Amino acid sequence: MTAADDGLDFSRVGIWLNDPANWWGQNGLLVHLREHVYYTLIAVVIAMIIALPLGLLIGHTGRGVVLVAGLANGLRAVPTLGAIVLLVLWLSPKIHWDVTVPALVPAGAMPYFITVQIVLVILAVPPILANTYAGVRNVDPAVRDAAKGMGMTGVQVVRKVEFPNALPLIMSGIRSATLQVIATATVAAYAPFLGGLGRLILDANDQITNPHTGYPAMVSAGIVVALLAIVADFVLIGLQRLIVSRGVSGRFSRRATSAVPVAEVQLAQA
Amino acid sequence: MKRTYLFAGTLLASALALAACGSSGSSNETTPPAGGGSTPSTSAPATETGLPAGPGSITVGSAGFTENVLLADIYGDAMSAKGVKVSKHTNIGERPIYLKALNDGSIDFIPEYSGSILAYLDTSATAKTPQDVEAALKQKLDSKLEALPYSPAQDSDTITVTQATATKYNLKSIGDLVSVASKLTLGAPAQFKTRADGVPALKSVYGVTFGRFTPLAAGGAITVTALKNGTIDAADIFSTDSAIAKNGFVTLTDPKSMFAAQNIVPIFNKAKLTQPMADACNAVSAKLDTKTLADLVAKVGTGDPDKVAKTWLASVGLG
Repeated sequence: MTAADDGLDFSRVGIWLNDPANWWGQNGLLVHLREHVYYTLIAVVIAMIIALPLGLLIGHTGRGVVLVAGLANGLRAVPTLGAIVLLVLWLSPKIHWDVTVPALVPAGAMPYFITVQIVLVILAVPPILANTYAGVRNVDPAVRDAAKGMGMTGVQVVRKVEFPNALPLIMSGIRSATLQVIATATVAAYAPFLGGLGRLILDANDQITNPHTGYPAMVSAGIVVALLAIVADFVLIGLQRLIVSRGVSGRFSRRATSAVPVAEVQLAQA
Repeated sequence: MKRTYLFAGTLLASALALAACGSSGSSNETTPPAGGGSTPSTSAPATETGLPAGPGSITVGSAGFTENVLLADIYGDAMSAKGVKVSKHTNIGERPIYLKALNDGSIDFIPEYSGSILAYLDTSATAKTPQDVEAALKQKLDSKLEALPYSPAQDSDTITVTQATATKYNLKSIGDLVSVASKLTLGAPAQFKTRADGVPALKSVYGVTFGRFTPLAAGGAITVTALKNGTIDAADIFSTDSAIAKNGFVTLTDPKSMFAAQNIVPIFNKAKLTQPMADACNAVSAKLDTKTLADLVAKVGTGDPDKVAKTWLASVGLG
């Protein structure tokens, strides 16, 4: 086997990507992309359900910062692949819930799906949690005091003042969690029956010279993971612009910004 | 700019340091026991096999996985016990790399697997039985190299099931799966799905088609767990995997030789081979069988292969 013909030529990637079967087939990019998106969405949503209320509570009360933040930062150190292998060996055999979900969990895969999701949630919680309480802690104390002075209850302060003000930081936590989960969900393919784009990457590893399932598939799937991460980030940036109050982001249209000085001038004259 | 050079230089230096660590950590000099023998002289009398009678000296190499390092230690230590001056350079890496080292004389010996080395040298090889593989290998091997007679020990792919599955469907050989396989799931390395002696051979040799296939690392812990808890019904596990005995798995026999034989075969640089080396290696090969090798690999675990090798050699009188 010569160096030129060892199947590791980058031009093979182009040939591979030009074959519709590699996109639309049963083991194609699109099937695995869909699985990858589902894995990511589920993990990030569960992480938000856990981390948002907890972060708001810690931020609002200022209690448990050391404990919970320390724990969350500790979780960041968990090696994901190690955790997946460990839990697949230890936890999955203990789960006897066998439910099939079309296009997501094939027969017999539920014990492994749950395990993989746990690991991805562990990965996604720390950035969301840390940014949420940091966002709330960073709200201008004067604003918070004003809200209290207006007679708002604690819940109202959180809902109407702290949460909207913390939203830019919270969103950046969600974005960072999403990117990490997209990049890491590839390890799901270590578990039996599961997919995601990692399926193509991992399967290529022991047959790297195979023109159909080897190096070209591995590189293409890697590129798609990267593109997915970029697209997801843009979508979340767009969402952030939509939901963050302009009063917080300072993003006013030209007309609105020009109106402010006029008002100030009038006030000054009065 | 200066800083860039400095940085690159530091990187290079640390890479070299690491590489040095790697090689110094894995190679060591084993001196023969006192009175073992003198250095070979070119005038040493030749034996009836045409090999020099002096013990000679040899550099033993191995591939980069535990079992192969252990085999290199076993053969190396056995030769050392016969007075051969043995130095070791184990953990070299994969086949293309250590074969290159064998050809350029960096190493003179490697323990190989007959079917795998044949398939590497001849991608269209069809030999399956131990004898056929040996005959084909002798033809394909570089004339500078010499394959000694193979050991009965094999590290081959197997189709393995749990005792419960074997009892339930009365399975003894792979062919017995023919009527039930459609209900069963096979877990095997991803390449098993397409390679000639994988799923296609299951169908063409035995008419067996599994209902499902899931890619899993060969012989990995996940494969064993998945087989044990019934996630998969059959798995491709290497015959020297200690998990087979430990979990009471049943390895289905392969009477029609779907998998090529993978006997352990010592490969030598012809120029370095001496009669004491051949005698030592043949004695080891004769004592080694698949079960013994599996036990020894299990004993090594993450420990020192050389210690396990020496203990075993002493126990069979070759140390």
